[in-house]
Amino acid sequence: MKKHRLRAAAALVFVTVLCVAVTVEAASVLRRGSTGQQVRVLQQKLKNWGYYSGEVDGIFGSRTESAVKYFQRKNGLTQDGIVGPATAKKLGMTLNAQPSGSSGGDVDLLARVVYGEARGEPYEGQVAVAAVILNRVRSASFPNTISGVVYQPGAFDVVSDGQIYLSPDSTAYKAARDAMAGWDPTGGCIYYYNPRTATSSWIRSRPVMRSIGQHVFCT
Amino acid sequence: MDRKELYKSIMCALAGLCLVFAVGICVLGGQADKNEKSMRAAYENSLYNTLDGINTVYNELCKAEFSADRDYKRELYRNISAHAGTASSRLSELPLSEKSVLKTQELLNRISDYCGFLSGQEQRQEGEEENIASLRRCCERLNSALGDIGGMLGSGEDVFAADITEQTDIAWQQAEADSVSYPTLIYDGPFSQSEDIGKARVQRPEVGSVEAAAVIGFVMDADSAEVSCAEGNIPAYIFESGEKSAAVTRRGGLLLWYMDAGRQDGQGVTEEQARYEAGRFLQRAGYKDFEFVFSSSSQDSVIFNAAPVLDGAVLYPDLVKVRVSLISGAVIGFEGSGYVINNRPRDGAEAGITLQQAAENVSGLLTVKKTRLCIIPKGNSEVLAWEFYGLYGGDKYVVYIDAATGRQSQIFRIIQTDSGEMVI
Repeated sequence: MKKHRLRAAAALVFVTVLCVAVTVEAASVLRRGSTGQQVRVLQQKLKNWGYYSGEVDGIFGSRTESAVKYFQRKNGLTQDGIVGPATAKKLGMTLNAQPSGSSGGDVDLLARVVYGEARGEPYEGQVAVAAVILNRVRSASFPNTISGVVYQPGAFDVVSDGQIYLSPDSTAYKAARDAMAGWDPTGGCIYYYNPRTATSSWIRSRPVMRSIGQHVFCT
Repeated sequence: MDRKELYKSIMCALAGLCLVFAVGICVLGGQADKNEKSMRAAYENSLYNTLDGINTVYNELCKAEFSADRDYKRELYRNISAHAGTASSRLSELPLSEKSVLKTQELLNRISDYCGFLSGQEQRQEGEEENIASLRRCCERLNSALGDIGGMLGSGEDVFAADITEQTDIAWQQAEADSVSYPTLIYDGPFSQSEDIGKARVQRPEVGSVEAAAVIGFVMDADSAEVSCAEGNIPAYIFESGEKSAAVTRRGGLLLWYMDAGRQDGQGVTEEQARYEAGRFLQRAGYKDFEFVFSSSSQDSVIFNAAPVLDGAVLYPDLVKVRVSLISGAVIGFEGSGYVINNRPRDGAEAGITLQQAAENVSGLLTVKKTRLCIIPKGNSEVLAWEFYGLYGGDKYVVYIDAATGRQSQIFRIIQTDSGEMVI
């Protein structure tokens, strides 16, 4: 009887642990999906030591993961492909507590919006989305900073639906950088929409300057 | 274990599960309520700051309207510029639709920019009194029209509650429609309402699509490209072929921009080799006699900035950019809007002060490495200036001294970012 009660108690504890929502603050690690400057530093170090032969693009993908595992194997570490405190120490790196996808600057923020709004679109279309944001910054009718434009309530669906927190790919970063460097395929547009999904009659009334992929760009 | 014991174990586990869910719902529900209250507090704080800002701007404009002391007036303009800028930032944090606050946003940005411009003018500007009076009346009307929203806020109503936000939206739109009206502000600033801003300063002859296609024939197969027209400040023909796209202006047939998003393969090239390719590209694109002025490289490409030179002075407003792949050595980007918009016949560039005289107004802290004469944009116009490039505290700086007055015109700091060097 006692044995059964112990089993029941154990089951209860197990279920409790399973069901309680525990928010664990992400440890300071780099793993597949991480992006940013720290990933770039990691890739460069691994490249310098011959563990990694891919691009130093700041995106922790499968090749970077394989390189990390190779490094871990050679250095007697657990081969999990994750750069935690032990692996970072061997690499001579200090990790900051920075969850994947967090903003490190205007380029990061622009890249996240581009990825959320226009992934799958032609490259020109991705640059165009970033250019619209920068054109709004330059316009008297909008906030005067990139973050002000991006986070203006209701301005971009990716903010309200959370897609802004996805990790952008290298194409989105390139598109953001090109727009910051001055490339503007829209010719100064400050609005865009997808004619197949847009429901606002107001946005549809804006003068159309050109179409790229699924998006129509307007003033 | 017999059936009875098993049944008891399962019931215990289910009871525990139910308890956990009940606790979880209470905890999460409490958290959601806390979050909602925090959001409300944040929005109301922004609304208070916006309404206060508009009120302060109105009061300061009243004082500026009749102030007789130019120095004091300029001080007022500086304050108005700052308050209007802050109010504009706080306005953009409100959960109101873009179109509801468009006019208010524009009004605050223009007031901030115009008053910022006036604060830098030692002399009274043409139309200044009339413009300030009109902006003051506009703020007065807007202030009054937003009074109902302010009243609701003051009485503790949740103006951004789910069922009320739409009414607040509509109320703000109505307030704007009734009150925001001011004269066209033409002055030397980025938000000036001059119709010329963003448009080419020179009227060039129209070209057809065939002539435009010939311009880009050296970088893409124009015959198989899809051709479309883009309107806007610089009407252009757009050519798209695979991963390559380009724009050629309808007036003048100038290459406006070019992008090659295709994968680049190769053994790698040096920056010197890349610069050679960039120079060849400019020649073939019709941008002859340009001088490379600075470059910024990222991991797989380098952007060369080039400008024409007049009487030894670099024409920075006419700057173009060429991006070259460091993997293949191919040109993968060109951006020429600076030249298309700003290039025009200019008088000879003759400095009113010598380089040595200009150097007296550069801080002795800067270790100067390079100097040259140049024309730089200033507001919507341009000035001839002496450029001093140097180092201070391990950082790179560029200082521009007005070649007519000897006064410091601009200081830029060059920083290293993930994308290469950036001038700020």
